[in-house]
Amino acid sequence: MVFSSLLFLFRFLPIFFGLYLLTPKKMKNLTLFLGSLVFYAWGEPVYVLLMLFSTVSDYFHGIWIEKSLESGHNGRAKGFLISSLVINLAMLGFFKYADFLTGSINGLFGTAIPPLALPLPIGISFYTFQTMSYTIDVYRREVKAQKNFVAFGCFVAMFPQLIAGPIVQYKMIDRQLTERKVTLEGVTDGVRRFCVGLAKKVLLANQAGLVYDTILSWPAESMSVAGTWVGILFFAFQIYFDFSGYSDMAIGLGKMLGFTFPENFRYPYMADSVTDFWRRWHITLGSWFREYVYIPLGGNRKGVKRQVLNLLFVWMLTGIWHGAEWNFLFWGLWFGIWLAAEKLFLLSFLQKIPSVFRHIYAMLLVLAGWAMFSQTEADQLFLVLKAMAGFAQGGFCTQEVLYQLSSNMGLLILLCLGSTPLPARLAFRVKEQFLKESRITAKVLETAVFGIMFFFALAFLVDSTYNPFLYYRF
Amino acid sequence: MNKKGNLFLVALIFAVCAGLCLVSFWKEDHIFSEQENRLLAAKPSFSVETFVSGKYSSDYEAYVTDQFPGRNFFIGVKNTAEKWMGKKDSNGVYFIRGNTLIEKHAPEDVDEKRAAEQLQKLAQQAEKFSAQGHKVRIMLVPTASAVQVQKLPAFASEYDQQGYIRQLEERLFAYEDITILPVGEVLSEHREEEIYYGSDHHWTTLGAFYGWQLLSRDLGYSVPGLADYRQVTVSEDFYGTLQSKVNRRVRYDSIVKFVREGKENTEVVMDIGDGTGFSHSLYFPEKLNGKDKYAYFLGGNYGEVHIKQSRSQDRDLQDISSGKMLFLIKDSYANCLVPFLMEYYDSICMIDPRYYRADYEKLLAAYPGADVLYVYDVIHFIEDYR
Repeated sequence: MVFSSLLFLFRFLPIFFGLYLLTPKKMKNLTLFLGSLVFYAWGEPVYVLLMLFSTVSDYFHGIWIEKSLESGHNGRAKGFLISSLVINLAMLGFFKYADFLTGSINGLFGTAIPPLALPLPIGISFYTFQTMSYTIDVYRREVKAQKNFVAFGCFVAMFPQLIAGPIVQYKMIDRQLTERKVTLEGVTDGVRRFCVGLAKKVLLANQAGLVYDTILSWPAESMSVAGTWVGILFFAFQIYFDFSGYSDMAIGLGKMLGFTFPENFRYPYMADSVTDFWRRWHITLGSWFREYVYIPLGGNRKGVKRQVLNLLFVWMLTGIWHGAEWNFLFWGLWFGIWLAAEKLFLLSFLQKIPSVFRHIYAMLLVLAGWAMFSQTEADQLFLVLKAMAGFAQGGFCTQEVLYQLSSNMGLLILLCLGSTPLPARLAFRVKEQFLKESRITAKVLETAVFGIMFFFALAFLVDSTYNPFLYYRF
Repeated sequence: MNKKGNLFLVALIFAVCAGLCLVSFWKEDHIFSEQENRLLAAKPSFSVETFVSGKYSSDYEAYVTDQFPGRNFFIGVKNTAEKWMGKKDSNGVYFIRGNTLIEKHAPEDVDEKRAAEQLQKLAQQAEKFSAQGHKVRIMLVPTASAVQVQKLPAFASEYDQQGYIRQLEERLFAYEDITILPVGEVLSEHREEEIYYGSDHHWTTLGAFYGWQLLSRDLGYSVPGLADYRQVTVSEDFYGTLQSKVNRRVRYDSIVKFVREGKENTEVVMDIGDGTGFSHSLYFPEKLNGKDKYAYFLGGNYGEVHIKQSRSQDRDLQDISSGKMLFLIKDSYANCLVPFLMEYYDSICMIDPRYYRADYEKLLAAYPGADVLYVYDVIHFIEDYR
């Protein structure tokens, strides 16, 4: 189930939330845990067992690690930690990377190992990372092990962030698991955030995606330089509004339930360097890798050479985390290289040039990155990159590109505006102004604005299966 | 943002979610959507196997979406919003100034390989019929997007339907007994007139009239002028297939019947081959009460239809002994043309290959000497001709 579906909004959400409110405080975790299992099992009726296994395994590993530490058996604690990591990584490796590995081996050595062709369990990349953060932090004595299985189950399976993040580290919500309140203020904040996320996903990301799909579906001979850039630009907007919209919805749902999740995006397309971009893009993934990989590897404390190696390694992992394909690896490496260059010398140079140029520099690199990210087929990727570099069979621009641009100009303006903090600032100003005059007016106005947003998102959702069959039925 | 909660907002969103949830549980399911002309998803029955395989979940999701309360209303809202945003087309239909619509046929939407195959198939069949002694005429009608190009949005690129017809001409150039009627060129001359519906993909009776002028010249029949006809508007609230695709308010179309002055009382007998029945008119006024008002002409599309002037003494419609006969291979574009054809022909055997299951070439063998006419719009010809 995804949040941006009629099924979630008009079946799961009202029913679950009603039950959640009715549940006495002490039992709320149980409702949340069971509700989350239903949510997950709806889309993954089989793999829900895998997630439960992971939950049980790390629940016990956490307790065993803590016991070993308390009784002074540090070696044994380390053993349990390694066991937990191996189980998680083995699960992730088996379901996500096995076919990629065998495929690459087959390609390199001409062998014919048959692929497993297993579908990827939804959210496995997210929940394995979350549970690993838990056992590692217990081992580091940063958190106490969670003795209550239902509370721990909530942490792993919690439906708001289960499928697409943000990646919540256990220590961030440790207390909230047992002491949280559902307040009107929290629910209001949550509803606001959810509406914004839903609108981003349904009204912006999906529409941008249609334009991208159209443009990149053209055959090689009508591919043009401008067309490819425009297509990738729409892809950039699609992925940003899709992913950040989903994070907004997750954070909003969390707030409704009484949780505060970490922020995941901070206007990434306002970045003026690659370093800056990665402080604004998928923040919780970046922090996870920094905390559990980059710093343990020595970070920047072991000399420049080692730092560069660490960066490249971490960003290759970041890349491959996004999908078991070579293009994701290159995408990660691409950023790793620029990050290293910026650390070494580029940043100090960039600081001397006007901010417009810094911004253009960053966006060009990010767009080139999205080109790599969007094309999983090697020959198609090559064509796209070639076109972006100025070599396309269709010349510089085609009539079709101009048509797409003129037909989607309104959308493009919205996408650009939506990538800046301007709309949020404007909304804040207007609201402050009204609040000074009358609190009721401000609230009614706010309700109207969010209501309209929700209304349009709903219309677009209903339309998603609108498919008139206009000729005679056989 | 502000520290206090907003009960209005929370109440509104949850009331909408819970309310529509309840309504959709209570409301009776629709089986068929007239607007979309398709069966809507029905509630799937639960079983452990379908649940484990994931089929139940996806079927249920389709069910919720298809049966959502106010579905058609929301779809209209979506398309209106897109138009406000400056989108030039939606669901394969251009928004045209004056609040009308034209169906979009981008080059990438047309399967070039199939188009070439269809052209080849038609040429071979026409050659064969011509060799059997039939006079063959082909009327491929370009759709509005290839004719009323002045109405299209800036930069719109369209499949070259007129070029496709030229390819066919080149292919059949050498055959004296095969004529490609240049209906595309004639329609282009009249492109400022209402020769296509603004809410439907068909040509209007006026468009068909220009086709008829062209054909009558080729038949050696006295070419009629517009003044020879009285135009009778039979419906002023026609919403056709294009309106269904965007599902928003556009200008209503009128359906017009052309009546030849002095020939008002000519009677015909129409026999729908599948046994559906007889009719003494080519027009079906009862269809004007339904959704598909274009079916006013000939009552819709059928695999095999026989039409005969009722002034003929012989009431046996399959009789082939006398008069000028036409063997018509067509799609729905022909439906509003047929009344014109009946001014000239004594009988027509009409085949819609989409619904005619047998081999119509064998059927033609029973009509030696009949004229053969193909009437298709270019797009459906490429998709449907068999």
